[in-house]
Amino acid sequence: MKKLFLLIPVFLLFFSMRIVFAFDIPDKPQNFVNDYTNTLSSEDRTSLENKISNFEKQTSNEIAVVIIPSLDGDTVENIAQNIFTKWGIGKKNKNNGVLLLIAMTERKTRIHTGYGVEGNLTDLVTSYIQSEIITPAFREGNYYAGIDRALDEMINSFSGSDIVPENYSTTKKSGISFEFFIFGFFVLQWLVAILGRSKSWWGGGIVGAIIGGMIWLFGSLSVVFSLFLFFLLIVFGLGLDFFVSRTYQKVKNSGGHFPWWIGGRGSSGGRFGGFGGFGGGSSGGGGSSGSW
Amino acid sequence: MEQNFWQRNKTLVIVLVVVIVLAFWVISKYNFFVNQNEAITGQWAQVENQLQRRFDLIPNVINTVKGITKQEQEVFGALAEARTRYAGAVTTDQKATAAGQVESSLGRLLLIAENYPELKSSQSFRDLTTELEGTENRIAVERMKYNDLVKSLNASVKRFPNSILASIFGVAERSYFEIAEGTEVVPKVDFSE
Repeated sequence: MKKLFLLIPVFLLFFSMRIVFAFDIPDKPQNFVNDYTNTLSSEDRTSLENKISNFEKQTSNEIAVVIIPSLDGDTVENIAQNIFTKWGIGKKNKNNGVLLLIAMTERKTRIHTGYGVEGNLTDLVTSYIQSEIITPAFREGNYYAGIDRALDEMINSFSGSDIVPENYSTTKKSGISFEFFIFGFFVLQWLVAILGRSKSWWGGGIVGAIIGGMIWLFGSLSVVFSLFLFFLLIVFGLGLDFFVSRTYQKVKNSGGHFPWWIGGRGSSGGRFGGFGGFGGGSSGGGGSSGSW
Repeated sequence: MEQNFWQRNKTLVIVLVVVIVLAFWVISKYNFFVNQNEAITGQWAQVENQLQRRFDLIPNVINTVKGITKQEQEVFGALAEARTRYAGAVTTDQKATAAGQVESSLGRLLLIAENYPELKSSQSFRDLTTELEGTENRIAVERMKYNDLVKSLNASVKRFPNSILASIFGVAERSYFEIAEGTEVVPKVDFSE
């Protein structure tokens, strides 16, 4: 079986030959502006960063500016798509991200749009921004000015038609909503109350198994993780039931107050949402390319 | 009391746990295959969506180019033929092949247009080219996403413990949207004729 597993990468490699990426895409950064070539001064970077970050706070739209030294033989479209996918530019449920990619050696640019902004930033608009603003400025070596004015244009094209709920970006959504957490808390307390009153301690294990099975069946997690969670919940249920049953008996016998039980129950499967810059949006390859 | 329960039913409990775990595994695998297949079908719809976008652009391209490049009738014929073939295609494979033919004749048309300076300088033709390029890239991206999904389904269908379940449930491999022979190379225009 191990050998079979070893064969699979070879098989996959055969099919992915066409998509071998020469350029090594950096890990998801914390900033909107990422200059891997030190073309921009740190003041320029901060100024651009502030502009994008303010725009993001107002509208939740995310603009990424990425300057890379070279495409390493790949096309600018491919690399833009890969950066977009890896970083997840834009909010997850709105796909409202844009990427401005600049490759210094090849003197190529690309404005790559997420699914959600194709209506505002059409291919023609992105093409116009590049040929009329970026290209002339870059030819004179004014990289900062070119990017800055391109950002203004992009922000202009965004505004007007985009209605965003207020405070959207100030309340960063994590995987589990607050309401769900409260709900889970009450369910847990209710379970504890019942399990504590029952003398046996295996009831908790069964409840754990049921919850684990539900997560396994309906939560689209991997088999290994589901199995792990399944057994973890059984063990957790057994342990919890044992603990609360014993404590309940003790307290009942001594006639004191019931303690405030809430153990360290880690949130399972919480997804990382918008920490740092990007919120997990995806792109269908919209936008256009330019050169200077 | 608790100890007694465990001692009396030890075998039963173990068998029960194994059966439950196995049942959960089978059901979750089944759902996994269903989800993967649905994802592929959905992604294929997305591919067709973008192919349609290309088809919608073609009449505009032809109208813009036709007046100036009168002597290039052969390309228009090929393009029209490929469109008809796509319209008649039923299976994924047929559609992929027809789409590849459209792609290659469209590429040829654009290359021919490059030779006409009056075309290249016209704003409407440049805009059309931008939109076509954008569409081509979108098709490429959706195709890549489609192929990635197919790749992961095919791999899980073939992998050992899953392969048994896959054959029980009748989950088959799906076919890739492969770029048709010859279209991945940009066609060359022969100036000698």
